[in-house]
Amino acid sequence: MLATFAFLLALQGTAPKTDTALLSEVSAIQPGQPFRVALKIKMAPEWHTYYLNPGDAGQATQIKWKLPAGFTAGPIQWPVPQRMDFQGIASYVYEDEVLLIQQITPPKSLKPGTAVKLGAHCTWLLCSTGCVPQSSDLSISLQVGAKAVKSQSGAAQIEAAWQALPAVVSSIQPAASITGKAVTVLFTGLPEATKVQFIPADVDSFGANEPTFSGKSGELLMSLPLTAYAKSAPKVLKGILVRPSGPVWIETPVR
Amino acid sequence: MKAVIKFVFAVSLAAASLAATAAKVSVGSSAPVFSATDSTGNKVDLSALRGKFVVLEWCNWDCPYVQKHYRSGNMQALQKKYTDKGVVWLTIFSSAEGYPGYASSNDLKKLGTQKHMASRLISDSEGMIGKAYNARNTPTMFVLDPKGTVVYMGGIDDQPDPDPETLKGAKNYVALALDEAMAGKPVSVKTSRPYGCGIKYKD
Repeated sequence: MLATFAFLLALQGTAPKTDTALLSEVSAIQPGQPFRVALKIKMAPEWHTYYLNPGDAGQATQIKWKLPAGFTAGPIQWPVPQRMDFQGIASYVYEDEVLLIQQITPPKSLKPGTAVKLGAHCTWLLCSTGCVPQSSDLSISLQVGAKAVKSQSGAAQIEAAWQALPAVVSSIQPAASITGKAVTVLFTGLPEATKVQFIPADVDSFGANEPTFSGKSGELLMSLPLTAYAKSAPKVLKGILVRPSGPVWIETPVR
Repeated sequence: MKAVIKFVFAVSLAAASLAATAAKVSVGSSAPVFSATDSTGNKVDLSALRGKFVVLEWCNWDCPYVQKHYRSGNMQALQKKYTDKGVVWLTIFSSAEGYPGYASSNDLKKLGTQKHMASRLISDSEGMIGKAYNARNTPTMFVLDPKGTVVYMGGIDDQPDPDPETLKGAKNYVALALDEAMAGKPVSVKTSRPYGCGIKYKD
């Protein structure tokens, strides 16, 4: 595994160093067999980076892959962020350390016995009270085998982070519609209706706006207002429903 | 105990006034009026600016998204172009003292000249103007027509990124709104998501 120190595009002299590394769950890949990789970002204390929906300010971390021919990368699997509020300006952030996992699919035509190099140009905004854009160019070299081989530390770290990701729970049935300048969602199949939060994934529609909830016997009604800057209602509502028994990924058409 | 009660009271007051005014600012609504003193010591009274197009720009020198537009000269060029056409351009600094982007009127006296800005600079470190407009990050932009109606509010362009490379081919919504409105045409893009650094308001 190649660990590279972050390249600081420090515009201010006080910006702390951020450590980044690319992890892979396999040290040898199997032709045509998807595997998971992760960008690991280790931040200095009191500094943070941003979720897909940064909220009122900030910017989501970006990963631009430079992959060999025939390889494809899936979307980033964003962990549950924490909400940070400063005098009414709220953001969805990660502190300390975050793993951004993606699935890579290699082509079937790879020849066992060869090696491949996966590169990634990563950019993120690091903020405390002020902000600094940072970036790093990372790469990872992997063997091609007849069978995939688990990596020593990467596999465990990626699996642990994967377990904490929002899950798709088919028994939770949301029905979303637009009501004036808010999206209304009726959740059924949600027994623990009282202690939930919703983190919208869509910054353009919702930013840091928080929903209100009302419930009645086994049903939960959520109303999530659009921001004053939203051009139109989203066609699909995406976000994380945070509940005591674990986060759930919600993705449902808005009718 | 007294201190705690005072704190809670102050916060709820601030929240109430923010909610009361913020809800009203939208495209097509009347822009909240304010009066302030600019960095040259001249009074700025928004209600006295009826009859002119007005741009409000929220600024923070320490913010990389603002720096993208100033180090490239993009913001200064826009200010020059439109103030030459009679637009009043107000650049507002709402960061509280002790936080990044804080600028006193004295600081602004020098900075306006150093940075070759054609706009009028206003220190709003108490956050009164920023909160009245519900400005949340820098740069956030508003365009007001001669009746004092908001005709555009939001980001400066369609490139929410601090990389100066993203200025190439960016669609500047403020220029678009001014060009259309000043030609008597309807504004085609009335709002977009403002992007940048969160404004650190006074406690």
